[in-house]
Amino acid sequence: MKVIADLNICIGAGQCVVNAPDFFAQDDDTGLVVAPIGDLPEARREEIEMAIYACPTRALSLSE
Amino acid sequence: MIAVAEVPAFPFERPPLAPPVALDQIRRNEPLKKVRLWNGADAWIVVRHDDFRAILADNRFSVNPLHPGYPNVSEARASLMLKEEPTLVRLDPPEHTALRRMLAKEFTPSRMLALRASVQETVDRLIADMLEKGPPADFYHDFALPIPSVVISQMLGVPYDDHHFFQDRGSKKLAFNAHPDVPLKAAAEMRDYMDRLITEKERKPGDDLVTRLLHDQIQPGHLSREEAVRLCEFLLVAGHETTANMIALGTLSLLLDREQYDCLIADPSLSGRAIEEMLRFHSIVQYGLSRVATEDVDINGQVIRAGDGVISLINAANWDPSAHPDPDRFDIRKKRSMHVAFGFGVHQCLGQPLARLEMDVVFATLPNRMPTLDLAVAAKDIEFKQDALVYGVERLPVTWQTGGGQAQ
Repeated sequence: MKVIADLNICIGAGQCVVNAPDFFAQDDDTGLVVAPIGDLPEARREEIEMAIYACPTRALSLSE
Repeated sequence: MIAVAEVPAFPFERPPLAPPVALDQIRRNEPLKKVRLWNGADAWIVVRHDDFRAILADNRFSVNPLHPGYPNVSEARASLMLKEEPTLVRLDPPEHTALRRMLAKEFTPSRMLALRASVQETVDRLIADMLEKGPPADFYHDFALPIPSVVISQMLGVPYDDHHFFQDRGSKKLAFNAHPDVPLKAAAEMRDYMDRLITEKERKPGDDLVTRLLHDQIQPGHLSREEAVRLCEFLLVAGHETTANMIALGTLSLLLDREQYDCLIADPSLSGRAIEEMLRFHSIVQYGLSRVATEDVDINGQVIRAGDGVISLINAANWDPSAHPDPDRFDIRKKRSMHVAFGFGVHQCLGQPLARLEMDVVFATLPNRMPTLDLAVAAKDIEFKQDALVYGVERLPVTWQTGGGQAQ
């Protein structure tokens, strides 16, 4: 399970960070998402999916 | 003869602490419904949580009031929407994206973390002032309104001494039923004020958002001075009126169900969940978010035609029982799913991290510092704002026990 972030769509609303702070961050210079790299733990799927659902611009997606 | 379905007038009447009752029936029977606005124009209202998210995330709906068919919810609002140059919240991508990105870095988690100590200091000081003065107090004007006013002043670099001016003009700008000149005049005066403030920052830069906008955006030519004035004026109003109403209404809900106030005394870490329930339950942007379809769009089998106005109702979506069971039950102990109090889509509230920070500090602090806080009037005598785009109380008389029971 991987997360794909579209930085052309992200506006830095920060909802991913609110919902899954262990996996997402915001760049201090731009405010835009810093998405996790590589395979994510299956055990944490629920909060990662919540972060994706919360994104108001739908800039995040999951790749299995 | 063809039966003509009745088109109800919008907005609907509401009880003091709940969305209009009519919305429940509409949600059950006809989730996308045409309503008639003050000027005789029709628009769709959106009342279901899923439809709300779908429409606001769909860029085929425009937020630009100059687009034909855009639904204005009152004459005063129309006056502001049609005569003012649009900024942030009335621009579509890509113009919107550029402006939003200039501001995104101001509201990151690390920025909020850096602000936390000064928000705490403000909350502590205002509680100390209330305690020192003694009961009764007007919780709205003595506490709920000063907090976000002080915080947004510090953030923007606006002198807090001017708070009477910007609070008054802010509330006039958000008037709903006022004479159409009232919001226009208030907004113009706020712009003059912001223009003078930017001039002041040119002479005497500070460590604040307006100075950073001046150096990083205006001076290099990324942002015109006029645009910056409108943007800063918008931030100042959006930054205090909304959070002030939420702090007062949230406290009111806790005091109406004492047990929940006591929960926060026992466990201040519940604050984070409590504020989400307050945001959902009160959904203060009470007349919804206006959009206009730029092409035909199918929403769950209902075609919205190009040029149709659409009003997505935050309070209806946040009280949709399919997303939030028992929506009328205010309960900070319950884990609920995600609300849309801050909207959705590219225009979702920019300042929500700041609103959350302020509310979190308030509700993690206040119950312990004022454990005997209570309403000083009967619940039925509380006056609510009847003429405001953003709902709230006019004032909130409170009292508390002095001496023995009070933690100092």
